Amino acid sequence: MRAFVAKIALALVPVAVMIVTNVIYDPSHLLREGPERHIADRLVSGQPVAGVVNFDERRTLWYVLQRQSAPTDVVVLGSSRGMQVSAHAFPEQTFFNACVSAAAIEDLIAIAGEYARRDLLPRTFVLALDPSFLNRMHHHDGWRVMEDGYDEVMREAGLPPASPQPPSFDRLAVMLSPAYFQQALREIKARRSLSLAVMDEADGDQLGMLRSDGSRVYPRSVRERTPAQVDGLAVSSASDIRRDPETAAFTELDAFAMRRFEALLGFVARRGTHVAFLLPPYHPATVRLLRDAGVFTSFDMAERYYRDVAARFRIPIAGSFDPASTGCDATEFYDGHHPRESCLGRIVRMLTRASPGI
Amino acid sequence: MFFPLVCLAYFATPHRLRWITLLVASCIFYMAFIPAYILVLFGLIVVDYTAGIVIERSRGARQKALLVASLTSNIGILAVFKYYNFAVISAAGLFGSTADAHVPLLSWALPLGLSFHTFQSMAYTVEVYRGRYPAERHLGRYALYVMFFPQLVAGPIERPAHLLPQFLTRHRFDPDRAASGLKLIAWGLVKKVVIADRLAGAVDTVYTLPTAHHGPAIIVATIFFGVQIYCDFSGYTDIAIGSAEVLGFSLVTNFRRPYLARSVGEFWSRWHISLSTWFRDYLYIPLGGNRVPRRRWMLNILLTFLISGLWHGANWTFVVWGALHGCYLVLGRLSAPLRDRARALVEQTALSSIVPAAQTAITFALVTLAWVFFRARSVRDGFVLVSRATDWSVFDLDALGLTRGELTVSVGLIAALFAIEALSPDDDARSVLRGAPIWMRWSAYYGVMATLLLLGVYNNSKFIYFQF
Repeated sequence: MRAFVAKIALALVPVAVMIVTNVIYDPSHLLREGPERHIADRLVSGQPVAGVVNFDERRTLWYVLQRQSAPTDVVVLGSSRGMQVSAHAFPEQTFFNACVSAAAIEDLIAIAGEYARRDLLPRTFVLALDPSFLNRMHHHDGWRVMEDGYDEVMREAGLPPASPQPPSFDRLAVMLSPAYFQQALREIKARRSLSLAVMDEADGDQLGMLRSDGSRVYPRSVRERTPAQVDGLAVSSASDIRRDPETAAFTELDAFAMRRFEALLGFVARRGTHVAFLLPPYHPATVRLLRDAGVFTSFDMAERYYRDVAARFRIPIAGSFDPASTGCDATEFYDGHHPRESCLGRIVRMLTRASPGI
Repeated sequence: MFFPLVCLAYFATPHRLRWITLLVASCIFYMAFIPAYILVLFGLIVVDYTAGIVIERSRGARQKALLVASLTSNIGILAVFKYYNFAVISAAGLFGSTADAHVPLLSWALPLGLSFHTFQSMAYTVEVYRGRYPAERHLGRYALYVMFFPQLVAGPIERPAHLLPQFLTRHRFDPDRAASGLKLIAWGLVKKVVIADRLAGAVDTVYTLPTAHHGPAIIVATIFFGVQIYCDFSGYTDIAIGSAEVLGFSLVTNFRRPYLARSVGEFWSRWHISLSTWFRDYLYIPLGGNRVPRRRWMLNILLTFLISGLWHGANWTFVVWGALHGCYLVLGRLSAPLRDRARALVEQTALSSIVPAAQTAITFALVTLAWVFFRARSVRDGFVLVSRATDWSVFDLDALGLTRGELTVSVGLIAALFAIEALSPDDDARSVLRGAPIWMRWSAYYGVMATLLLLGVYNNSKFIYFQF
């Protein structure tokens, strides 16, 4: 029996190494403070941040707002599909891109509410809209770092505030997770520093960068993808979307999401902030394949709703989920989901031409 | 943590109470998925437990009627949960829409592993009816026969004569047996987490949108699926058999290196053995087996495989898959004289040494072709994939959604899997290390652990066969 226990202990040495690595390296900063505060300091002081990939974008934004002293002219809200909109698109105006990855409707509300709570509401919010904002199944808890902002919008609209979060053992589970170990090893291999040692623009060009205006520069490996690679990724994106259980469940627009979306529009309008809608397109091949598979219907449904709201609230709107009407061709994408800055810039120009006040 | 705790509790419990420990553990295990469905399982257990006793006491027509009633209730549960919507939708396709017919569809999820435990229950009542096994008087032990957690949700499908007596055996903790079981669990995990889940991404990418892909990607994805489903299912089976072994139980072998088979018939003696022998013993042979005229035999084979296809899922894709295998066997038998002559001719030439490899390759190709329909979302998609597989105008391996590095790793892992299987002196991968020096064994153990930690894909994917 003693020999058996010794054998088990010996066999588990790699597991022990994994746990120790996870705890010591902790690539997503679950056990200790991450670089968010430091990133926010740099952004607010007008410097870019390069080479840091695992940070909490929402917490960073919260720190940015904490440090910001005056409102910005234009703020973009949305998901990673809107992250390429930069200050270049809004010359002679102060600008910040507050898009966060995998944004849900709660993110838009919480971030806008946080701006309002801190008296930092911009002159214009450009909402880079996704179909998934209206999908009942699309949610996560990242936005809760700005839960007070969310509750403020909801309270004013007479809607229920955020429900309390149940206790979670997620962090413990992550420390025991081989996936987290793999993430740690990948970052060790890529020599990505948690101490933000890599910061100048040259490194940013190579590794990817968060500009001081909050917009994102993808790593060179992403920017220099060949058309064939992008086409392949566009097909993969279409497959991913089609087999995503969220997509399967997205047969109708979520009534509660629509109520909250319209509540948000009313909330910011009452405070004198203009709103513009930007619909970032998907890659043409992705759209074609999803249309063929009958999956794009929900995307069309969401677009029709956004256009209807724009008409009702007299909100300028430009772009489309279908690239055909935006002038963006297949070369203006990084993959199936993410348009390049040139594509988004063209749509912003349509927006500003239609509504010079933005 | 569940399994180590059950082991501790099991060996800490006095022998006469161990069935309670296992039954409670099995209930907890099952209820981790959809708790309410345990009531369906309990219902099934009570019906078949009672049926076993009354069938044993009865004779003649009454006994047969009781058996039919028991089988009908089992098949009825399967029909309601698994086939009702399929039947309604298929009927609507033939005769008009379901809305016109005012026939509601059920929105119930399929109870986990329903097809497995209903088949295991039916095996019990049939064995009692045939007088091959006495009816179990102990309800708890019978419940454990149906619910034994290592094989509850995806088999192997046990027979009462093999599993039930083991619940009476006094098991002492045996370190060697436990170590052996743990090795099998680790190997099963490698097959599932490292190989099956790694290949799943490329397979899903292609099979989700068949019209977006061309020959090379479709063929690679289909071969990947063949390996994926093997590693997924046999990986689960290894984990089930290994877990049972740690506790002192022995479950039946379910896979014997199926892709080394040299004919489709041999494939079925190596693939999901507990199901194919179930169909052989309880459907094919009662239909007359092969001791009937040729036409009737062909019908028996086709019927058995069509039902086997439907067993896998309520979709016409599975029916086509089963029909293909049935056709392979029928055509295989009809063409046997011709093939024997061709083989005899080839064996007289210098090419004789490649005959076994060619037979294995042809069998693999036929089985892989059938997998297209097993995996496709619809029969139409299946035919689209088959027709586009011949279109090599675009060499689009990028469309698999894998980087070149990931593709290389995937192919390397498949090669390693087949090499290990080919090197095994028997059907057990553990036997590769039998008699090896200690340094080699421990290097292999650490290699397995490192492979699991470094190359495993941990995305909470379920086992494919759980849905059946």
